[in-house]
Amino acid sequence: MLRTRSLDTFLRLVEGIMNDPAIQLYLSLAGSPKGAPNENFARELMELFTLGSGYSEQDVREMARALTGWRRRRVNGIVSTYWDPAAHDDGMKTIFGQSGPFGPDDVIVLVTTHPAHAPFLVAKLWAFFVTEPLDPGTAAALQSTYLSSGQSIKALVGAILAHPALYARLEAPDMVKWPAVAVAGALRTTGSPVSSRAYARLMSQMGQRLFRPPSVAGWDWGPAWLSTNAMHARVQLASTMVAGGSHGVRVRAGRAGADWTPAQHLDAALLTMGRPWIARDTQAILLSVARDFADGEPTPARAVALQRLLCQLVLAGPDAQVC
Amino acid sequence: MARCYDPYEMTRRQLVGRGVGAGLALYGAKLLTFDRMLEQAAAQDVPNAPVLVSVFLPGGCDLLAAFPPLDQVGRYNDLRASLSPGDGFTPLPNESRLGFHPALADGINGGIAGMFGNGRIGLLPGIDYADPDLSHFHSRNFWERGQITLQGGTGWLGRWLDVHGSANPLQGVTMDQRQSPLLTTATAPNAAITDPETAALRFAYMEGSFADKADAAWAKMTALSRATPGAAAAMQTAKDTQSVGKLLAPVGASALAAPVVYPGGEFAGQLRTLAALIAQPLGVRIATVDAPGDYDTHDNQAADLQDALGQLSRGLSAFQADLEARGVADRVLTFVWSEFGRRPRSNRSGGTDHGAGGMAWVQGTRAVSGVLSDFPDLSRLDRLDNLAVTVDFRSVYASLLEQWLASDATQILPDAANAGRLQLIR
Repeated sequence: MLRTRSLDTFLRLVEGIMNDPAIQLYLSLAGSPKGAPNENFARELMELFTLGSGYSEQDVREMARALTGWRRRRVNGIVSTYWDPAAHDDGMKTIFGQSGPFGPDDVIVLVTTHPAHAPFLVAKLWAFFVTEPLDPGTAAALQSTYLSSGQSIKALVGAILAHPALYARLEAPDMVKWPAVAVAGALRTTGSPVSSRAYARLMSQMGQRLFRPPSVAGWDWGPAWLSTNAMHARVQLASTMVAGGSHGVRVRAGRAGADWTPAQHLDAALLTMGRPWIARDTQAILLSVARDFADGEPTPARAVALQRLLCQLVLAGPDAQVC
Repeated sequence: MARCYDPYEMTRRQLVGRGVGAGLALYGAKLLTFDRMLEQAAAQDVPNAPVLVSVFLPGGCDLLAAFPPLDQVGRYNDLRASLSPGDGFTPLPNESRLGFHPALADGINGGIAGMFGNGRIGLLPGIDYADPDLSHFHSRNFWERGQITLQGGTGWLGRWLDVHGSANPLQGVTMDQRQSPLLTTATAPNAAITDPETAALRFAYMEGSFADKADAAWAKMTALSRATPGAAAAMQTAKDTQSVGKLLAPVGASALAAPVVYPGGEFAGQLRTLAALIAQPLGVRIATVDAPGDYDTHDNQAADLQDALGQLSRGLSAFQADLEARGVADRVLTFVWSEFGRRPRSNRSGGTDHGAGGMAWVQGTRAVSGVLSDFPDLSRLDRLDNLAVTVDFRSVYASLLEQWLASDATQILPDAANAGRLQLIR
């Protein structure tokens, strides 16, 4: 459902989510009956998925009434959900100052036509893709793109991806790679298959278990991905790949000539590790590491050790953690 | 309180006022040598330097299920319907007005109920803030930062490190993969630890003199400055990661072995490791742990709370017994909290929705014991049918800063001057 509707209109996406047994069970929408509604889904629908702010506790309660009617059942050990008209409260509700005998399909129209919705979605998607702050003019233009396209997610994401701000910091990137990007990105840019469960374990140590967010709000992003424990795991990712977690990386990192110059060493390491962004000052340090490594007369064994070290430093170092 | 030796203190205080990125960049430029940092870590290990441990119960723990008010049982049964044990309440030892959830007796020495009876717990029912926000994420953000405004920025314990800390990253320890938002700092380094025995940085194929070269190379490439927040955080964390590995190198299996038997599970393991780290001369001053289980009991409350409170009780009672057996209990105070309470009237899905007037407690041999705030009156609910707030969490924070960490609360908490104080420490 998320794959097929993620670039559809936002209304269609919310509709798909609301009708999905996964969210109905996760956020107590199934088993929220007339008379004693459960507020869980109504609150998170507004706070996390559509509005962020601009609603009252009374709106939460009235919306929970409008969303009553789904039940859960277990057949042969499998839990599913179904709509039971008798469990739905079909009385009058007042939500955002409008009154009516609202039901679930009205709720998703109400939240997606609320004036706080477009600014909320624009700011949220912008921050996901771009580290530059969103200026009011750009925000207004993106909101207009979104609304005039009939709330098309594709149109909005397209406008963000085409915005010059996305490309403004290529020489000094500042977006902290989240663990899935750090791991999958390293595998992809080095041409390595997912050949080991170690990658999932390392991603978890970096603070991200896929499909297991810490709460319905998901993870905290940005610099919050970085802790000393997570950084340790990012170093382990590099050492694991060089040590054979990636066959191709291990083979390439193990090739070096005793006659290589420091520049050749660094260039080979960058090539092997998929050329992550490395600042000039860091490159200068890596060159100095290469110059000092031989302790006099270089030997083939020392050259290989140096190449292996540079490969690990390139992928594990602080610069490679941002994009 | 004994001050930590910190030659850059004034500089760093000035830096707090600037942007995070600029602060980190400048701080990074004033590199301390590793030996200097070790000196500082040692200097910080003043005997009796107090340690504050935060234990967070995520999701909003239900005060009424954890500690039912026995003098309001009739009203309680009306509100809680099938969630109430009826007349099956057991009073807390030495406190006839309050009962406890049966799972809170799990563990060494009678669990949390036992610790209450032994004068180790000061309970804070009704803790929250005026006009509480019933969003998990808003309330949690307020508690983490110690102020009632929605914004990013540093955690309240991180700010304490910024003002009073040193260059030792072990001064603030999150027992988890990710760093706790409570410990977000402007400049002070801190650590997230899952396994002290594997914390050292290791590079593949780097043995002997190669290991030294790898170590030196990492130190050089993490000493650069970066002007923007993400890149600066990567630089600082990469540097701190190496320091943490070196500082933890002496902590081996014998230091980590616990003098008491812990239950299984990740939470108990985190507490066991933490007790061992506190007992070593590492300079740990603040530590945070998240409790396991689902406290956001919109449904299935009976089973979920039985599990969550049982794990909490078994873990915390073992932790307290461990600290006492190691002889360090008098310098450790544990603060247990959750982001809000739950609705007095249960819903019809076998659970309770978000409410106000939650719960917290201080735990330790030096905690004032008993019930330290008024229990909310079940017949006087607020305009949203929630429990009344009887104590503001900021007054508890201010009291902890002053009485336990011997610090000026107004430097850490913007609202400290207007917050009341409670006696929490004896």
